[in-house]
Amino acid sequence: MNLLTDPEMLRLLGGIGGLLTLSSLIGWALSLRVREGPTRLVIANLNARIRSWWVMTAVFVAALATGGIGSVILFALTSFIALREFITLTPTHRADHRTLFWAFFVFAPVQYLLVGIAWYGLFAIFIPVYAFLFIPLRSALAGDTEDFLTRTAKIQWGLMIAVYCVSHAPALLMLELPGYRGEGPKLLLYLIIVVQLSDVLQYVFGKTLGKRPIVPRLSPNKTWEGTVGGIAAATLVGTLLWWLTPFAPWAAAVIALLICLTGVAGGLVMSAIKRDRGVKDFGTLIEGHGGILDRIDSLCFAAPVFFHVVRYFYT
Amino acid sequence: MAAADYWDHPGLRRWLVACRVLNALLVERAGRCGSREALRRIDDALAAGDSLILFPEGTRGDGTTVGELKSGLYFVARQRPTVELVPVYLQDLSRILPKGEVLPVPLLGSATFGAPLVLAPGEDRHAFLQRVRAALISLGARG
Repeated sequence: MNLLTDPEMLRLLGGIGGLLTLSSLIGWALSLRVREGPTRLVIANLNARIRSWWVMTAVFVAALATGGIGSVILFALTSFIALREFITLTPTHRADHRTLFWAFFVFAPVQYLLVGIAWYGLFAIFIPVYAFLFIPLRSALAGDTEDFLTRTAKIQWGLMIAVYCVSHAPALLMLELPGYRGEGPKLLLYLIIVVQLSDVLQYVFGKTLGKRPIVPRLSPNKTWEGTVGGIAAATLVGTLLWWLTPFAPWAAAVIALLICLTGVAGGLVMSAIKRDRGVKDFGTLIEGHGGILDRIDSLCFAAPVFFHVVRYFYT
Repeated sequence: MAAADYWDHPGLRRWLVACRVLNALLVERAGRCGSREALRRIDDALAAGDSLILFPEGTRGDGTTVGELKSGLYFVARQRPTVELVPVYLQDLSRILPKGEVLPVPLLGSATFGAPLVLAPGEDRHAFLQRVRAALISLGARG
């Protein structure tokens, strides 16, 4: 499938471009209306976020346009940076140095190599079996037993979240769906649209209607109003985009809801990790959003579940 | 500033550090006349209007505590009391490349800059070094 000639893809990209343009116009109008007070900072952050969305969309679409390999490389780099952010925030010992080297330069690249060559059998178990067994072994060989279990768990969880989970997004390209051959990029685009739109709409509903926080101690900005409104609206969009996928409309509704719910779960868990480490964001890479891990926290949980639901019911 | 005994070897290391990229001032660490020579060269560099980066611990630590500071910083401050000493706390560098390791791990390091310090009138060496060290430690706690 060629992205630039496929009418469905072009229609969708036109829609995304229109949405971004509309957001930029709204952001610009708001910045003219609100000139002082604390709201001004919220608007400035909103506009920074919108600018970053333009960049992220352009990078993602460019990767998608290359077919498989560009997407695999883009998500591999995303995982690498996410792992940097995660491990930087997670105290490890001097004795873990070589273990970390393996995580960054062997396990993460090999996981994406397996996606690239579409070796599903090893892709599915490489990190949970081989990496997870090797990591404690390598740290044990270094001879430092203090906080051994904690240190091992932190490195394993970093690989799990930042590499293993994220790699399920480009892995959608290796699925052979009957009657949907070669259209994997559409499935990947569908996942990204629903999961990120769910984040954005939760933010929009939260900022406009949000009152009651779900877990006040964890995340005061995550409110019932924002979450429910955002999920409902993103599920609706996911349903209306059924023609992009191999799903029937009702199935698209169920799957979009599942993507949104797992996304919320990811956001809550990653917030808990940030609170535990006493930081607001994982990094500063993406203006207005924080680190790359702040942007993909929902995707970390949604990608593997979406992948396996599609694989189980549609192949 | 960097140690000559470590960096002044023929090849990439000397080329990279001393000459091209970092524009380092290499000094001898061993021996008393070496340190007098080093101070003179530091003074020349400051007199020429250059900024200098000093690593007052004189080595890489284990990353958990700020080590005791070497006296060199005090002598520089005494010799040029008008020079501003800006404390910089380097976070996570020891995790990126601990002493004795060859392969770095790509973590995100950070540098936290503090308010400039100057030698107070009549302040002795020990008090001055302790004050600088305390400033570094508080920068680390903030970052």
